[in-house]
Amino acid sequence: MSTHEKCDTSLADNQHEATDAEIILRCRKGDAEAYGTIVLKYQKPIYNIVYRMVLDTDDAADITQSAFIKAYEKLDRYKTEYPFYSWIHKIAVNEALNFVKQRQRLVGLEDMHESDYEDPETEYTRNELEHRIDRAIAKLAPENGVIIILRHFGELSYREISEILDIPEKTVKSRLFSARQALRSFLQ
Amino acid sequence: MKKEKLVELIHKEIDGTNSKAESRKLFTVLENDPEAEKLYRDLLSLANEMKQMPRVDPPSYLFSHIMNQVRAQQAGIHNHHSINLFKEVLMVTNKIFTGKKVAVLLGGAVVAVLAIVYFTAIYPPADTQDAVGTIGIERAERYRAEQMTTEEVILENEHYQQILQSDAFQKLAGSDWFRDLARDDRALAVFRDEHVVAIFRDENLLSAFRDDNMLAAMRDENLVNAFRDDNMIAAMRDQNMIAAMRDNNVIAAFRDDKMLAAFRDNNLIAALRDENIVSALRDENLIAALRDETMVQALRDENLASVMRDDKFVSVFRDENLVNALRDEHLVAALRDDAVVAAFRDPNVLAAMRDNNLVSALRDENIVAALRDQTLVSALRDNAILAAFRDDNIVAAMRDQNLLAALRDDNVIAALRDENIVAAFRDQNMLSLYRDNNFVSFMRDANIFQVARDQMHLQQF
Repeated sequence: MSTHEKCDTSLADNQHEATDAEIILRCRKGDAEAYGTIVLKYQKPIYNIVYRMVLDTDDAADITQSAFIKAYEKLDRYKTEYPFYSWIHKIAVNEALNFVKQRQRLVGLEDMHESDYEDPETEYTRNELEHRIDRAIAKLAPENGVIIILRHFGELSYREISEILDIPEKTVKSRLFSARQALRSFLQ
Repeated sequence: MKKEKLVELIHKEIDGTNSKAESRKLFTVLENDPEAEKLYRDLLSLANEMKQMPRVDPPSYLFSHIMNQVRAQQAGIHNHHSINLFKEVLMVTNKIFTGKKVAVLLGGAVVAVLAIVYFTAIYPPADTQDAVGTIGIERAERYRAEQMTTEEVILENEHYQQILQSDAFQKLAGSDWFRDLARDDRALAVFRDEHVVAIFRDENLLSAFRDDNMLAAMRDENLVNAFRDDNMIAAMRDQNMIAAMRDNNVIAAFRDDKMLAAFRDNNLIAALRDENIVSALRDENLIAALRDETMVQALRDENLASVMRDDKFVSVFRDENLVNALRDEHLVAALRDDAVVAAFRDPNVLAAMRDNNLVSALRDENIVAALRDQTLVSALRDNAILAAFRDDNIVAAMRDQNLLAALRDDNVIAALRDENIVAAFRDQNMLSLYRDNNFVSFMRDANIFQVARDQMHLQQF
């Protein structure tokens, strides 16, 4: 059983999958309110992953919102035999990755690593350790940073990460292991 | 144990994915390998630190913002696609009006929003009841259009906000057809096409799009659906077709209510979606013919427009052989000839074109082959021949295989151009005669023609 499956807020057990599928079917039939159940269930894990990727509370909220709306608009494309959590994570992560890459292009990698990615209010309330880890993750290539975030903040298994990122499980492991070691050296 | 394997076991231990046996093996090695043991401790500590980092609560407004958008979308009031499409359109107009003042740009944007939308578009009229409400431009929208770059500056200014909140835009954004369009990747791709953008640089065309007749036609659901057809979309992106669309004569035809009425006819629209027809329409020669002033004049003729709407006529033009014939440069040149165009406008010719016999004749392989024959085409431009073609009997005779074979003969063609011969052809007796095999064979004899062309002999005949 994966770490993700073991946690209290597991999103992948059979009961939840069945519930998600039922809710999605109701949404597809025009019951917009049913989507609220989905949003309540997933907004926190999604927001947290996105937040760790973009390190800005407003941007994280915008991207999370955008991901949920996009998922709603494309509900007809979602295949109910697959877990919904994986699908919504995939949309959110792609949105966040695009945002991060666009920001890197606009701001420049070096500048962004220093201070531009954080708003002062957020920075003020965070402790030093958290700050150092976030900065270290931001130094990784976005494709590697996201694996660290999905594994350690999303508590997702290798398989779940591979589904979300559309890469083989083997690649997930190799990227995760090297990213973790890179993180270690950044923090030393 | 190899170093790579050891490192893998360390990471898997941290992730809790080692089997008991793998864990035992790892710790046995770590006891005797301080460097590996330090790596394990560091990574474990890092993992624990990340685990202890607080999870952040999403802002309290997030849920309501998402649900408001979902509800609005469900109600058909607000659709982010509309805004994205608007951005697309604005990008297009930005390209169109580059170098001009912002006011012109935005004025043009409104025109282009309407023009492009109507042009490609999907009609059903916007329900004004649904247009009530506000376009909530929430911050998340800026992540929705990844192609936005420097031009986004324009979109973020106050004019953008004004346009988004204008009644006109809200009506557009609130309508089902606009949302459908915005979701149609193919339609969006068309907007981005540089050739299509070029169309909207053309003042004449933009002005045509503002024409009441044109707008009325563009609201026709059938026509709109035709413009969503893959074949039509491909045609719309064709340079020749685009050049034709910018031609003043063609634009004049587009603005003609009779012509537009013809283009709203289901049969004609079906033809317009036909791969062969569309392919013919992209042909340089045919396009050149369509741009010809006299041709355009003919196309605007009420009678011809009514023929163009006739299902029999339309079905003829869906015939692959005939379509190929239409692409023949000689035939196309003939179609542009003043005399031919004049004939097209003749009520008898037009009536003949709707005649079952002629229609079926036009689909006949021999006839089609004949239509592509240079000498015959050249004969077709002859006034006398054209006059003969208006004759009912001639039309009936046109379906005769022998005659058709004869029609391709150079000598026959030469004879056909003779006024007297033509007059004779219109005679009932003659008509029955030249459907006779022996006569046809006789007619194909070169010597006979010398005789036949002599007026005296002809009269005796």
